[in-house]
Amino acid sequence: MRVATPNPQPAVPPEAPVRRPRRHGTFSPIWIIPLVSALFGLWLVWRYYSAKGPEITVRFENAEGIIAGKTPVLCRSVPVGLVTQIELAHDLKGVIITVDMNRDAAQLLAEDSQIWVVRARYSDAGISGLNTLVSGNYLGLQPGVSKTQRRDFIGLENPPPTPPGVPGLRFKLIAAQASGLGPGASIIYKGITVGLLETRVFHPESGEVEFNAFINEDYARLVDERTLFYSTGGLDLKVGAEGVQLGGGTLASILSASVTFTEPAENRLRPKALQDGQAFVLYASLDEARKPKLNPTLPYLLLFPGSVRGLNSEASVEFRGIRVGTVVGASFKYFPGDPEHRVPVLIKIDPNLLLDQSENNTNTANAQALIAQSVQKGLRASLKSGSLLTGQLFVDLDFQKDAAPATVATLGNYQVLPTVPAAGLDELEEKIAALLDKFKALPVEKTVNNATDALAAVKDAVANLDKLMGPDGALSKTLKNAEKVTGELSGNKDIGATLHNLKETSAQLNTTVAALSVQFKQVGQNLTEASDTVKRQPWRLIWPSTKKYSADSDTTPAPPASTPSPRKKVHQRHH
Amino acid sequence: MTEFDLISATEYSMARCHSCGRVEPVDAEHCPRCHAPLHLRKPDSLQRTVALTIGAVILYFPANLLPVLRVESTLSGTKQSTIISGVVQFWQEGDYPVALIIFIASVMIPVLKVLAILVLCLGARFGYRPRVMTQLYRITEYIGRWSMVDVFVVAILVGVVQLGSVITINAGEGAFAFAGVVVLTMLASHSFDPRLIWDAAAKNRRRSGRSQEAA
Repeated sequence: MRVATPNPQPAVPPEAPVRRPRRHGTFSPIWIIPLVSALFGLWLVWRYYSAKGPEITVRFENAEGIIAGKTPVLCRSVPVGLVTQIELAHDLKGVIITVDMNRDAAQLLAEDSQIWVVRARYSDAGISGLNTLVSGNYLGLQPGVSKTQRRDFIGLENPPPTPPGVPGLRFKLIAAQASGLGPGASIIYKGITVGLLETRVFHPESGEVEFNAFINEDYARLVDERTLFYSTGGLDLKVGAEGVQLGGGTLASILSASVTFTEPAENRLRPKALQDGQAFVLYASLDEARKPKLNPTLPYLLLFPGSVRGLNSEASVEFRGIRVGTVVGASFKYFPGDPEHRVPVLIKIDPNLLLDQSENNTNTANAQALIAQSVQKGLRASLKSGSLLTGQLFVDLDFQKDAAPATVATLGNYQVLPTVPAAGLDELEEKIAALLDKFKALPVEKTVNNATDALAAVKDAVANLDKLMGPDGALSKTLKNAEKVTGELSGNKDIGATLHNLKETSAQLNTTVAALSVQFKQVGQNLTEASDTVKRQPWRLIWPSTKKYSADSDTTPAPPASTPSPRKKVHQRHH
Repeated sequence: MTEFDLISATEYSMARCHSCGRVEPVDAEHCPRCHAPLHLRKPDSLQRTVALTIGAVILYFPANLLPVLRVESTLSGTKQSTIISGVVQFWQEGDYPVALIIFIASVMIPVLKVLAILVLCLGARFGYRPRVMTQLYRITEYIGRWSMVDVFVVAILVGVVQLGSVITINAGEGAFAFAGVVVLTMLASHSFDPRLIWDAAAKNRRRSGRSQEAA
């Protein structure tokens, strides 16, 4: 700083050196201070951010149960971060949650890391997250395996069922219907849970439901290219020749659908698991999975003279009971202006079902040749009834023995297969008509005449019988003689007297026996008395006159008093 | 503008000792009483003041952007607060006096002090309105001492609230920066020599007098 120049008046000794401050523009070491403070500030900022760890944002549909400053992020139950901010997304269709991760959590933030809200929930896999009822919801983090990192995540609405690092087979299942299957549904093989469905995506453009499925490494080799996947679960009701069967697995499998698959061919495991990412079709049932896949491409036109009522489009075309094609439709537009008004029916046949599948390229031509050949040998199409109840018809192809020779004709754009008149109910009608014709040809009149003669003969016989049984008949006479003999017998009086005597004799005998039995009773009583006396007063055998004891007075006087009276009675009766 | 005489001791090469106030010819180089170095004016006063003020301005940004206080609690997690967020929090909770005190002491005063110092430097450089500048200098010196309030609060909290795992308060990076701001502004206002205001004013007057004479 320049010092003001001294005034001329005050005497300043010119020799006295004035200490002048340094001149403008000279650099003072004090300028280190802003530099130092800048460095200090930068160091503080660095210190702050290095201690802070990375900051990430996670997008969720809603922030239910998440509290800024409180909700932690846990990886395997270890806290690795904290939610610091929750705000609505710019498009207002979600929330952006800002999370301060710990300093050493950077390696958890791989590109395929997954973050979701852990809360108490019930799913196919069971009840989980009950601890959050006490601790509050938190964010779960599943570290990914990718080397590249990211800082903005899309939060999952449901926890990821399988961590990306777990070994196993990952593949896609494509189904026509979700039918109750969702993330967490089990894949069951022989009643054991071997894997599960992880995600479910519906593709509106193709109308298909795509599942990402996972099978544990231990069971991954059960799956090969030909494995058929089908959904099970719920109750299985079968009505068959064995009756009605109601099947179902455990309660859990009844409540929730699951996926199962067929056994590997020849029960052999693959030496190595399949590559990840293959796609399989998920069938609705085992029957559907086993059903041969129909790909009818070969069109033929059939002309039927009769009604085709009961023949729907999609009805089957069968060769000796095996489905080889399908009915496209019955309409006069296929062959307009037929003078005989036959009904044109368009069918399509799958050439691969007629021939070996290996020669795919030439199958169409070969099948056409085969059909033409067979038509010459008598192959004919006819309508047959598939069900007597519903009257549904199907097209039956078979060789007819007595068919008139025919070939495959070309009519307009179509090849025409020769037909034979409709079978089924129409056939039945014809047969009944033929039966009636036969009835008509029978000699009914002659038979009736013969029958009349026979009846006349019977009448004669009956008249003869009447004669035999009449009042003057032989039978009547015989009966009368018999009556007379019995009357004579009853009229004899001697017989009555004899019988009377016999009666009296027996009565007397009866009385005698009764008296005898009374006497025997007396004797028995006396004997009892005697033996009793001997037992108590044995001395009376020697001295009978000895004084009687009181105990004897009851028994001894009774017998002399009672004995004579029965005797008298007996005597009276005898006289 | 100036009714009084602008003759200063400098014109007679008399210097006032910075530490004991004795007036001595500047040739003595050291105060005969206290042996402090003698200067006519504080050496490099404006340069030092400006440099220190710029340093304070640089540190002012981290001081406000980085957290001053870090509360670690097992119950509610870690909570960091900057000066402004603390003010906002107190204001929202209805503690208007506290919010105002913190705001004035920690946000307004440092800014005003820095602005005032810069204005003083300009005034001392160009000799503009020396009387107002002097008053501004007095005010700056007076209020500057209150800007340490925040640092004291943090220091006390850090020392007192250390309850182990339950709750712990640590000073954040912003506290260091804030302390830096306070120290630098103090040094800046200390290194400013208010006599320069009058030196510049006298120079202006002479220059205008000379131009009048020339006219």
